[in-house]
Amino acid sequence: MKNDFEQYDDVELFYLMKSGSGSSEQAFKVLYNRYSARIFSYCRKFLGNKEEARDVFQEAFVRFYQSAQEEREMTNVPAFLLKIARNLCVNIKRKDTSTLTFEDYMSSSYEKSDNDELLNLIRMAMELLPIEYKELFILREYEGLTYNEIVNVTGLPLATVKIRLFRARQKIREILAPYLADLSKY
Amino acid sequence: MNESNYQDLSELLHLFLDGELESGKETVLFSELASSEELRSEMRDFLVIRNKIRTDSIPVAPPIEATASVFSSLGFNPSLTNPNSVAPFSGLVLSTLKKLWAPITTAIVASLITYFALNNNFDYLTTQSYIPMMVSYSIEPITQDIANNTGQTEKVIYKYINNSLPAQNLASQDPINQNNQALNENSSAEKYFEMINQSQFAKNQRTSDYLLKDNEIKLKQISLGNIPFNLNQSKQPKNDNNEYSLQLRGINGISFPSVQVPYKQNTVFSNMSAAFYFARFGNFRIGFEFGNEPFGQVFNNNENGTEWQYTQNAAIYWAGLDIMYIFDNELLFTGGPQPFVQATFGGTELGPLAKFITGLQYFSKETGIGAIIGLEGTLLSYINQKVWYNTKKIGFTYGMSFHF
Repeated sequence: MKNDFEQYDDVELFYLMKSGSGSSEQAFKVLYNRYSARIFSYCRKFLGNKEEARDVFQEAFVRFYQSAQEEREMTNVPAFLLKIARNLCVNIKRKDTSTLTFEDYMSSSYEKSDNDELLNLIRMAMELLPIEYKELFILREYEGLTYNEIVNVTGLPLATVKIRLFRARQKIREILAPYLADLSKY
Repeated sequence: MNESNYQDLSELLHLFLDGELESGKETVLFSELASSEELRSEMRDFLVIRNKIRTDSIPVAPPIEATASVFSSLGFNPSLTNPNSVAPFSGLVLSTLKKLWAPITTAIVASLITYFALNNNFDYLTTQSYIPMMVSYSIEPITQDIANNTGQTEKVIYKYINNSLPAQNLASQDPINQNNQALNENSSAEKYFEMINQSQFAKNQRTSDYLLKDNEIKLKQISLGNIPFNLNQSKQPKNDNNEYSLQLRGINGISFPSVQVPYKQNTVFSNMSAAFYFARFGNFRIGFEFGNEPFGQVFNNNENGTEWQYTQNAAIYWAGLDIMYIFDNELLFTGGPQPFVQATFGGTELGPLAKFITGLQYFSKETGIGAIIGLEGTLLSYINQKVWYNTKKIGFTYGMSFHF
């Protein structure tokens, strides 16, 4: 019998969380250890605000644990966690009707790589995307999800995922066009 | 190509780059890519953006207060003593600490040992200004020569007296000066100089130092007067005379070619090596060593007529025979840590390997514990499809040893 929870895979740990015994807490801690950084990074990128990201992150893990107590079939724990976090982020963004300006972006607490101009421009361009494009761009480019996984996380039709992702990239390319043109000269 | 067509092709391009394009449509895309500079430009732009984003995809650990809040909300204890409860340090910080704990710990311990070792030397060097204390270790044979009453020896003593004038106020603690004092009770130093048998000296055509034979080296050291380094040698050789020793060291190097591929590290034994030195021949030590560390590799592989370039960062085990040469103390006048060079010749599962290290080692004869620090160069050769490739690594190394 395995006595080290680190040896269990995600799905085994998820079902151990349901057990309600002492192993439930241990299983949660291991899963938290595995995915907390990824979920927090996702929230940071999605919301662009550290305080909001922290609130959503906390809520996401609490809901994750509570959801384990319900009857459900689990096949992909990180995708499930991303789904919870994404729904919470979308809710926050829907309530927040303000528009992020360039000045807001420059003064935001988002960590910037001062020495990497292109990276900062990509981040800025991403902030300028409509939220429905931005969320798909993050899931695909930062989280590395396949189209089907994105469908699973967002609940959107595959065709919608494809076209929004394509438009998100076109938009980012448009914003970066002057810089990319300079870059191609060298 | 009209705009609508281009839009379709652009969509195909993005599907292809995402690995989602049906194979039946690839031919269409490839033929358009071959003829359309605009489409190729779009592909280049997108690859630049994607590559840049990948450098920005390192997860950021959540704040500790967020972790505490999650756990308290669920009624859990976010105890750090629980091996599974490492959440506050998860992510980048945790992975970095996991990678570096062994070399950091080794470096701290080695630094502490070296510090205390040097501190002892400092005390010792301080005492070296008191010439009589040094004399008590090395002059004994000379006093015997004094007893032999040879004229040449007296001349040497006179020379010594001249060189040790600053210590004359401490002469009462010094056996050789006590002898000198005894001699001086009858006459001055000049008188003894006059007592030298000049004709015998001329006849022998030798210097007095030479005539001292066995004591020659020690007298030369003394005649340098107050230079502490040679005298230090006379106190206690720091050479490690133990026959066996075990050594554990951390390795921190960079590979050439440099690759940006993460390596799968062994959490227990990574970027480290362990050695057992089982034979000693003079200043040489022979031992066996094994270790585990990553090597960046870039090599080509021909697959069905297509040349592919592979990049990998393989954490591999290596083992080899060590030949170490430890220099005597006086070479660098360190007084404590000794310079050494080491060559290792061995192999890995990929191919032959050679290592070259130069650095300093310190060994405490009292405790049997030693420390090393140095620079290391490594050459790994490996073969793929009958072509040899090399990976070079340079870096520094630091560790501890136990001598018995």
